[in-house]
Amino acid sequence: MRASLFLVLFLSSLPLFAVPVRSQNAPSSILEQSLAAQTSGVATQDLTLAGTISFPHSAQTGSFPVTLTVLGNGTSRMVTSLPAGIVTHVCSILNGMATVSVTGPNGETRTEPAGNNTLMPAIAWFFPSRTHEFGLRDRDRLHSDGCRFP
Amino acid sequence: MTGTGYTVTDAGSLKQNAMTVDHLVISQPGVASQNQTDIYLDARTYLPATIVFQVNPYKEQKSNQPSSQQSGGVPEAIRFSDYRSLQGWMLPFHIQAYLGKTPLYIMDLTISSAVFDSGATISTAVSAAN
Repeated sequence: MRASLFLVLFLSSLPLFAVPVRSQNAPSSILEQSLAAQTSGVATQDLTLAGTISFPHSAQTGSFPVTLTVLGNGTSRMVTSLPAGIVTHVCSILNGMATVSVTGPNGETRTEPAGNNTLMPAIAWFFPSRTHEFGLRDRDRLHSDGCRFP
Repeated sequence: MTGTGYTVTDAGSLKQNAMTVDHLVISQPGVASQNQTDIYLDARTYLPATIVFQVNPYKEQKSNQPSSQQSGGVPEAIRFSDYRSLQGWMLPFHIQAYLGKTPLYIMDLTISSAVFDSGATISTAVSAAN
């Protein structure tokens, strides 16, 4: 289904490549151009990124290994290896609301609305094309703190 | 969440971090301005340079309502850079997060590897979060 979505999106945006200057009156077209620039119409089911993370404005100094995963259904996870242990953020939709569950090094899990957690593994952080997809296709599900774009 | 739909508005071009960007605003008509997302696209490549959300990190959720629709939302800006091509995708390998109207630099992510379609799964069960 996602493959079809991307195919349709890609094909529908092809004529836009022939227009070198964007139209001031077609912001949705700009989003579609951006989505095409990011994905080239290639579908994917999941994406896993690995790297390092730091928190410049905190007492936690240094950089730490981090793994981010996002699935096609919008569920995302960030696993951070801090000196105190592993911290896992999982962002998903529970009862229609975007929710983040944070499991600390002690194994305890805290669950809260996604918008209350500024360090949640927001999809748009590392998968910004999701923003455009929902802005274009699923507008009734878009809200700015729903895992950013669930 | 309400099913009333969203609008995308072209807010024009501007300079941001020495780059010309196109500013798009996604908002929900009739809802407080907190429920707005600003997307800044590199005018040359159309790749996202910055996306600004509204978050509410300091208050308890009062109802079954996105916290961005409650009062006291603050902007959280995510900046993307160092885009690299991988399997047809352009992925940002440097991601920075800034919180607040006088932005605090709260997070810096440097990506070193990306894998597509590994068959990854995520359990949303609390006990399996790790």
